[in-house]
Amino acid sequence: MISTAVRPFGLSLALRTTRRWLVVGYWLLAALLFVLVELDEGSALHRGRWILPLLPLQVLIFVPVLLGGVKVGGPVKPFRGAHWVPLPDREEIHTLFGKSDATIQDVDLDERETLQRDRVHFFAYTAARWMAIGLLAIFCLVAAWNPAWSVRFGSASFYLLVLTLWSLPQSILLWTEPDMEVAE
Amino acid sequence: MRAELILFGKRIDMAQRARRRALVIALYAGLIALMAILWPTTHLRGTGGYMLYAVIAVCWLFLGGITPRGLVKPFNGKAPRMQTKTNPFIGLRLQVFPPILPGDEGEFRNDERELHQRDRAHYQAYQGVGMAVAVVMVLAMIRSMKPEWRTWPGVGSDELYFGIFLGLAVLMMTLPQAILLWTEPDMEEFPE
Repeated sequence: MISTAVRPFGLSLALRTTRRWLVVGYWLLAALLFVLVELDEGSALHRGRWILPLLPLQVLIFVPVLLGGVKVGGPVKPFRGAHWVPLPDREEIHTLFGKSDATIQDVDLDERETLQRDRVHFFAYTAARWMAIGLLAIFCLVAAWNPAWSVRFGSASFYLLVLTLWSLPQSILLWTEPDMEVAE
Repeated sequence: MRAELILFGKRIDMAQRARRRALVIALYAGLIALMAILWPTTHLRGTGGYMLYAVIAVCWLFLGGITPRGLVKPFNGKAPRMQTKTNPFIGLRLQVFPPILPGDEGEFRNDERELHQRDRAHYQAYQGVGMAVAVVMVLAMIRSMKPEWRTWPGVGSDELYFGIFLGLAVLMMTLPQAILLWTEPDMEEFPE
């Protein structure tokens, strides 16, 4: 499920410790972006409108590159396989940060990996479901307590929910998979 | 997955996929109708919480998965605590709380094949919900870029967020069960 041939920032992901640091770094980056925008009170992006630049940045760039799962080139193989190759005459995979020795043949999931992918999504879905219900309950409390805060809380919660939905399965996989042998 | 639905003491055969699909369509139509009724009266505020009660009731009576009753076995594979007698009042009268005896534990435990089906359904549901939030994200971006659209559809941003969270919660509580009921082929009838 995890491609050791992909090395973001030149780091080998064969060791679980390295992968856990990558996951921690990803979530810290998400938190940092959130805090930076949230602290900038005078910004036009503030007051609930800051999802405009943040979410596409996370979803389109950081998730595929740092965690994978979405498309070819990340540490986690694409969940849906590789159905489209931009340069079919070139077999090596290019990544945005770091390098990769993987080929397009390395990204297809075998039977075991497909079962592992489904199982991880079950756990992630269960967590996300409780999170959605919890956020809804907290949003109701915030709206009842101070309606002026509800928009800010709503946009922050939406950011957290989208981030979780798009990156939790990959994070679980990278966090839990034991140490691996480096691909030749 | 269970082949029959026990509704208020009456057994309904749900082995045929067509019946299960009709049930899924009817349940979602009902939930949408309830949301449509609540929206103009209170803009989902206050009474929006009733949607969650409705979803829990739908899962308890029909879908299962997150509740011990319903067509889909509990996802966590745990049987509810043993009951040797029914609820003496409403439950007994309506027969919605039949007793759970020690021999019934297999009714709640998924075998290997069912676990794979459960995981696959959750994967498919996850993809669906992930795409749904992406669509909402794009709509939010468009709404942010076009200030004149901020007044559409006549609700404030806070109510819109409430609607989004409520819709997501409803979807996340029901979608895997709906996928399982929709995709599972007709069940074979076991010999008596």
